[in-house]
Amino acid sequence: MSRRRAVQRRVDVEALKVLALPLVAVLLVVVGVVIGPADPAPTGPREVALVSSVAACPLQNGLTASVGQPEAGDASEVTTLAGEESTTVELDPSVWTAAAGTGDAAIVRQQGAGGGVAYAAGQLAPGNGLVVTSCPDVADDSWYLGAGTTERHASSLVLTNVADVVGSVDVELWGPAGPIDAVDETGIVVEPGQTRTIPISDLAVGADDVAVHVTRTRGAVTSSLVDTSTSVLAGSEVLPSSGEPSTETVLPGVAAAATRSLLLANPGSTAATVTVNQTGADADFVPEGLDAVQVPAGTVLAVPLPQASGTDATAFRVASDEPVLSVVRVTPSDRDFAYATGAAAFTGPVVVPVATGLGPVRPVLQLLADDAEAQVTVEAFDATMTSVGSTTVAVGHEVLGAVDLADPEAFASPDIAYVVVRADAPVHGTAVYRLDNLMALLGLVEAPLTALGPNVQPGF
Amino acid sequence: MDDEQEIPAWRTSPPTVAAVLVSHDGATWLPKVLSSLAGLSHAPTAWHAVDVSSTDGSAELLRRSFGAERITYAPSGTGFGQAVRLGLSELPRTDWIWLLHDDVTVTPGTLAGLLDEATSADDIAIVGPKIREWPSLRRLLEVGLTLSGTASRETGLETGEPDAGQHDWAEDVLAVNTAGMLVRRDVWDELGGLDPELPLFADDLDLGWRANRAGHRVRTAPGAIVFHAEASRRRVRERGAGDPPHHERRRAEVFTVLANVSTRRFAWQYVRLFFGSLLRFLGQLVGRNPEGAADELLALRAIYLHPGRLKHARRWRQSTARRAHEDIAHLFPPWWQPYQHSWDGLVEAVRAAVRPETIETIGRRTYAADAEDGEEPELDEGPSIWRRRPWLTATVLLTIAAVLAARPLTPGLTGGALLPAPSTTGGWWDLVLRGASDTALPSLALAPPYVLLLGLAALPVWFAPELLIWVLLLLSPVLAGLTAHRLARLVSSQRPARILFAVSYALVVAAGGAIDQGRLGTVVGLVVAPIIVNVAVQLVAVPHWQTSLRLGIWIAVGAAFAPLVLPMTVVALLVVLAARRRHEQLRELAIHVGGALGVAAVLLGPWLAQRALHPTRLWWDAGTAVSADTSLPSAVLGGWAGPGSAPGWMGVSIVVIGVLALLPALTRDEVRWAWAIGLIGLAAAVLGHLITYGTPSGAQDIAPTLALPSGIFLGAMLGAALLASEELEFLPRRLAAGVVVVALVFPVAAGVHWLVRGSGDPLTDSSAEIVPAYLAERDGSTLVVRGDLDDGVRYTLVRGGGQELGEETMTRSSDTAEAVRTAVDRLLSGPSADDVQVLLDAGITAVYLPDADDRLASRVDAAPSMQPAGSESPTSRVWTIEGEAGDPSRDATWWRLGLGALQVASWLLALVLTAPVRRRPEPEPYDDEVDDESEGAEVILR
Repeated sequence: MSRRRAVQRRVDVEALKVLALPLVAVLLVVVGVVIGPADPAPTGPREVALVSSVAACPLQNGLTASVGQPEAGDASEVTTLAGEESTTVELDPSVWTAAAGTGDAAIVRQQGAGGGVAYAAGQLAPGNGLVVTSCPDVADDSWYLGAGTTERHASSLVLTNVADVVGSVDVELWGPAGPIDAVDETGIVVEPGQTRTIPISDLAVGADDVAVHVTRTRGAVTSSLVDTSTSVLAGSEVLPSSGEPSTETVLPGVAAAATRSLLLANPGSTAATVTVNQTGADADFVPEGLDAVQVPAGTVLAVPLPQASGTDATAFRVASDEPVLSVVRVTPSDRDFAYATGAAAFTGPVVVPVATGLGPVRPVLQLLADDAEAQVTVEAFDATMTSVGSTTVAVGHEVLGAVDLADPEAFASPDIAYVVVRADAPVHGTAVYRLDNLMALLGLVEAPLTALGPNVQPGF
Repeated sequence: MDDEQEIPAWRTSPPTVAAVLVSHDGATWLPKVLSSLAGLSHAPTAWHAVDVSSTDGSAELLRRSFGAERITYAPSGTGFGQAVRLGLSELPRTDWIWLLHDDVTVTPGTLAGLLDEATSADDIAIVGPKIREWPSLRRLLEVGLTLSGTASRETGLETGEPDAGQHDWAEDVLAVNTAGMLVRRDVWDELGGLDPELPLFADDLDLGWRANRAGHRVRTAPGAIVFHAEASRRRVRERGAGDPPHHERRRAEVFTVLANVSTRRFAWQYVRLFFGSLLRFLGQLVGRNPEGAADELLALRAIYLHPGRLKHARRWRQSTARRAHEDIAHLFPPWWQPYQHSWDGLVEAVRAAVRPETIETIGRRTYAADAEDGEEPELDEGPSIWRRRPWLTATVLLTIAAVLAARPLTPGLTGGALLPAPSTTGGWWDLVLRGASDTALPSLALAPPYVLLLGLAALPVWFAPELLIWVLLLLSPVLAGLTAHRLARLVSSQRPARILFAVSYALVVAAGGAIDQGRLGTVVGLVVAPIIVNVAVQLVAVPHWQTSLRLGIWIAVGAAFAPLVLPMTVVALLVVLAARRRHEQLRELAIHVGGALGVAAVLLGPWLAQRALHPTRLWWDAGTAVSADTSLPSAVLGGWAGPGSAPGWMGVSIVVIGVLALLPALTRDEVRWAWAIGLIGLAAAVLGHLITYGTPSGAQDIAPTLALPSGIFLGAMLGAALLASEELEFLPRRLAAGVVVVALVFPVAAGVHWLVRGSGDPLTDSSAEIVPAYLAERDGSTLVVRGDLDDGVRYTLVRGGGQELGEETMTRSSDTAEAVRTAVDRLLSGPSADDVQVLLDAGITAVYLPDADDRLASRVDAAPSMQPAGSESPTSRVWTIEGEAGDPSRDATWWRLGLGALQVASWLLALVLTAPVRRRPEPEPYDDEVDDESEGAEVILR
């Protein structure tokens, strides 16, 4: 018996000698498999902090530029372009500067981590309407809706080359009758450091409510569309870019006015069906007749708002089965008009100019939460970038919120130069400026603190 | 009547000849020498022998033959010329003097043959016989002598050239050997005999040269034959006190040239021989002959530190010179002859290096040389070459397979992890000594040590270093097979198993995909790994400092190309030490192991510290850091991933036979050692699977290739099978056949896969332009951006045509590099003038997107000063940057040059010290093949 046990033990030892090393090997592999390889680093796009900004203000010899940063920057300068002359003035980067430049256009260069912004404001001839607009930076595509090519409703494309190499753009047009076969619409060259104003009527004539698509093909070219009317309903406006055609657009800045009309453009090749949801002071609803607006392919459609829409300040959510452009032309009086455009949701910071050279004009902010309720903080600063008051409001998804910067309780200081808006959840907003019976609408856009960039690594 | 006319005139009135035999410890040869002298058909008029302080009984032999009265005893240190003078002083004056050595045998007609020629003209002063090699008796040694411009003794014969009568005509020569030299007595006196400055070597050349300058003729007499053992030249004579030092031969040759050369050429020869000797010194070192190298230096010192002797010698020669140098120019060899010898030596060295394993054969290899009777033995056809030389045949087949697999690729490889080789080997030396001074972002980084090794190895192909890369990469399976077979010979006596092991290991290298992926470091690591194991086994068996040094060098070579070799080897050696902790030689072994690792650390230099500070970079092999596509189970089980790798199931059979190898109890201990090595490789593979590494330039998250550690693992499994193969013969035939079939699965399948697929993508031999040609020709460097917004981009800075192999590690994190990285970040998101200026300051004058993402291109286009330029394809975009670019080139610093030179010297020193050096042969009993019937018999020469 004991001999059998001894033999058994010997067999066990032998088996162990044979199996031990392969078992260690298997164990190693199992450990490797269980732990797994190191997680790969993210390769997707990321936000890259910007330390400088360049914008071009279409002053058109009637507007003045306002320049500043949410926080004190490192450097700031304005180059004013007047004809072929240019003048560069260095500014104090720690001061909000109103009326920083006049002329045909102004190129604003700012350095600093705060994200420089620039605005152009004033009354613009020949319509003499009120204009408050942000100065655009270089964009690949810009879309405008509402341009006119008639004698009394004329629009001009202002192209500014902010770099030292030649730039060029292509232009596409759509009118109520469909795509417009424009003349010399491609390869429009802008010389380095110069601005060029091109009447839309040079490209196409006889159309009202035109949609314009500007594509940058080379160089660093900014674009703005100056729109003036000298008809019965006069006024002027620098049309902000409407953003790309989209199936979901929020127009938070439909200000209170007697006359308002919805402009829809369908640059695609398929007819679009558009539904408009209106957000009022109490709740949202679909105004009668706006539940299924048909926009033929390649056309621009002007839709007068029904009476049910009312005349109070409101916001629209435009939904479509095809990407469309949408704006609301707001006509507060027969002396001016303004455009409420789609505004991307933001959490801030958004710089809203107050000291624009227009005098004591303080805007009202119309705000609408993108998804859920948001707490929005509006902080006021004087020209030395010192905080001079703030307020926080709750903004709902279905109810339009408003912050009146002229409210003496929240904003008692007489020296407010600008306000900075921040939200704890994405909101859409527009600043509504009124001067007598003139109006300007400024879509709220985040200050350029970051830009979307690729994940960059050295090759090896 | 005719017969009478053929009889030379001198026979009717023979001239008098005095023979002088000089002996010094020549007892080995003297019996036969004396015996042959006794058989002369025409003997000298008088004899005299001079014994120079022999201690081996030579004097006694001479005394018995010549008689005591005809021997002069010279003190030790007496030169040959002086000994002859002593002998002549005891002899009556004769017409001719015949000089004899104690290692020269004559034929009966030697002296008659000499006199035939000597008396054929009045101006003939010196005559020399045809000298054949003793003991072979068939090979020619000399039929006249001359001296080259490099002070090399030239015979004009091929090495080992047999005597078939091809030189049997008398001719004028510069000199003849003193062995058997017949010299006219009056000329001897006129010239003053042999120069005492040349006691042993080159005295014959000098005498002949002087005789020719004096207007006499020196002739060969092929009809007279002697057999010369060349005991002194071959250093087989027992050395004694007073003998000339070893460097005397070289000194004498250089001295002879400088003493006799014309005044017009003296300065040139003086400088030439100085530097030529230094070159020869280096050549001897490279040729693993340190003693020869030392002789070169000592000879140089002996001559150049004593210019007075040279001056005296030249003046002495002027006194007897009557002919212009130009008149005897035809007696010297052509200028290129020494270089021809160097080339022949190199070819012979290469042949010796690649000579296959010699095995038991029927002796075909040497029958021709050894047949002494002049008749070729009749041989049957014997077994086939495969049976006679199986490994040679396997190597040839492997080589053919490698060449076939490499069929699409010619030298000039690039792609994958492989950067192109520089245009000349100088590019690598430039990196070692000057650093990356002309790269896009120069840094102070040191060149990786593998660049130095490539620089050394590519010296013979200076103008085509891409040939070396082609061989190293595409023939790596052959090289791996050779090193594996070398190891197998050490650990196994089973020849078929050895060959199967070596071929399988070669195919592990081919199947892993490292070749196609351009992973030069990996394949070199796999080639070197068996050598490291081989040397380590030798060290464990017999600890010796030279083996330790050799191990250190091979570890350094492997680690230079594949740094992972170092930690794996360290762990393996620690395991060995732990296993032998109770062994009596543990301490000695530990010291030698420590020494080996220390040598490796020194040879790898500061580069090792750079890697050690970032341990994950140990997985970064030579070449660019390219992420590998690996999955752990498949990698370690042979299911390699990535381009060029074989299907996964092939390697499973290797693991199976590795496990089976553990079954035989008798070989299990050895097999477990193989498993230990395999587990170290496996652990390294598992660890590599878990980590990623980054490079100094900022590249991150690079997944290492597991080809090296998994190759080690699979190689160890093959090794286990090899060790267990000893037991195969004890298995039942069917079972053994089954095991063999399993073992053959991998080599057959992997071999077919290798041959069918061939080597290729991503490896290519096309000169792929990294940047458009016009950008390569511009001043400044080009920013090359690959990738897109969604999946990220990688950028490289390219100067000229692009980086070359070795420069990939030279780009390091620096302020400039960091600024460039930030600028590129912003250039592709929100560019500004400042960002562009940063690029310009870094010398970047162009931006190139080979496969442009429109969104990124749009951003670059929006940057200030970006001038669009033409690109070679619709999908690529190029911008040149307007503005004045900075010049970031950095001059080489003195310390870099010093460090580089130090590293080169370290490697050379280690290689010289570890090389199996050629030793001066120890005197040993001569293997005499002459019929020795008369050996021991007393010969009387009276």
